Amino acid sequence: MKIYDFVYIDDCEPDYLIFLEVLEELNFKGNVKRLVDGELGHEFLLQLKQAEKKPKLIILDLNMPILHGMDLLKIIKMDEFLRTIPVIIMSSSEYEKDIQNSYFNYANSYIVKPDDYDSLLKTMECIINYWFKIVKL
Amino acid sequence: MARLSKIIADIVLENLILISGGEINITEDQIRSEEDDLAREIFMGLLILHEELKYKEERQKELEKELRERERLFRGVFENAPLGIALLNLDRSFNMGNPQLLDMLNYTIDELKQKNEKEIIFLEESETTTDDDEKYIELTDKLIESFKTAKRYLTNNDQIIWTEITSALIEDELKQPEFIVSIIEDITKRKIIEDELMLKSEELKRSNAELEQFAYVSSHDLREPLRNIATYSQLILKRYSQGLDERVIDWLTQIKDSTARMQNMIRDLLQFSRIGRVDLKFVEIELKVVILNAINNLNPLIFETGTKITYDEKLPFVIGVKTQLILLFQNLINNAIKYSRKGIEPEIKITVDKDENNWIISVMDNGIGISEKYFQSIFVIFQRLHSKTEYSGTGIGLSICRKIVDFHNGKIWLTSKEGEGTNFYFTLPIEQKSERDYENL
Repeated sequence: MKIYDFVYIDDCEPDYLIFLEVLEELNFKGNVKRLVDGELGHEFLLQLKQAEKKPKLIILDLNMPILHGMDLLKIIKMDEFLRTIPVIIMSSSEYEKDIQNSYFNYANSYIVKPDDYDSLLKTMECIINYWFKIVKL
Repeated sequence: MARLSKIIADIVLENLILISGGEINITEDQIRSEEDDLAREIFMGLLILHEELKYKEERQKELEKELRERERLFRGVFENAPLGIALLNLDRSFNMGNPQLLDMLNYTIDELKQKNEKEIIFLEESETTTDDDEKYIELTDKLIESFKTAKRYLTNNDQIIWTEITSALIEDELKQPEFIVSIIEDITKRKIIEDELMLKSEELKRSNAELEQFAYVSSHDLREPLRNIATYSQLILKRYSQGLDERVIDWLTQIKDSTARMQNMIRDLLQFSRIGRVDLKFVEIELKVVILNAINNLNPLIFETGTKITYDEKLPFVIGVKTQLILLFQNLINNAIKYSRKGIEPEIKITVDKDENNWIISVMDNGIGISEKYFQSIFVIFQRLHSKTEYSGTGIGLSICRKIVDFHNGKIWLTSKEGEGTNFYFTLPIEQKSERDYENL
């Protein structure tokens, strides 16, 4: 099992395709694993835990069927192995409650999904710069 | 000696009638002039005894009168009190009940006296006892002085009434429990209103929760597909505009612009729906800070348009929700800039006045002005007076203003002259009445 740069947990297909498009435009060559709901995300993270292959970054949507992103966040941050992985919440919600709850549950960042392509491009560029170049993981 | 005994006998006989209530017609002078010492002493004694008896008799009459007066008073209270009063024996059987109680329960006094208080309590099928049985025991055991309870009674004509009852113990002279006195109030009408109110408030809570849910859904679920439409049309424009038919580019631009507009509308609508949420707290804030915040948020626009904003040197502290007041000024300033006259740099002047109860704040501009016939409709949500191409915007800014001012228990209005400018006024109460909303931080 390889080491993943991004574990991307989001049920929204168009968002994921754009995400890949942005990574390509940014010339990012890392490994991305996408899971389409919280439950599958959880299962996958448990597999990584078994294999002791910590991914570098988790990008997590909140509003997902089966297992809500907030619940998965709580699970991750309560797990001794998983809790050290930075979790970036990326949601369409600008709801103050969602934002505060995320930080309360130890999210590392909360980003409201940008409304247009260029903003997303800039946002992802910052994320990659910060988490893969500036920060030591 | 014969003379003396004769005199005594005479006096006793003569005065027997007098002692029992008549008058003694002997003056003290007469007694003093009597030579016989013993006779004089007896005279004196009789006189004192007589006075004593007379006094006792009068006092007796007075006491009886007082007692009758008190009895009348208490009976009056008992019979005319606008509440039911019951005197219960210690086993809670009725000993006495006032007319209001009889009327309430539809019993005659004789019927009531046959009843025990426990018998007339109305219980649901699921209930076996009311929880106040223990309270009566505590009362008769003198563990408590009195207690309040609410329960239903079944009246003699099969009506269920809600009552609120206060009970206390009456002790005999030896401080032993003797009776229980209960004041019984028929609260059926109040209970019905309360129940209705409760139902309404539940409904309101539910509909508020639904609204909240709706706001959440619009913030997330509605915006997601829109965001995708916008992003993908942008991506196509960005990557493939070269070589595309002019018309296709135009159509894609239309898609992109329309979605952007709808995104703005949803965002504004959300903002609108969030004003007046119950969890918002009123605080005391310096108006200057509010205005500076609003100006700061609009900085790029103000700079770009060369807008000049002036405000009073001395500005008061006001009570309100900070973020909302900022939004209020932001919308008013934004509005003033948006509807400025072409070729004339916007000038905005903010002044504060006060009357007895309110701060009156005015935001004056030198813009295009508004015809008086639109003074009301501009506050209606999504109401626009101009075409989208002429002046952009979702038409929600002033509705938000009004909602914020309403939430702060104020008023908003305007004066305007077309071609000269508009003056928006709003009031903020100097003190906010509701304590729930106001928390001094």
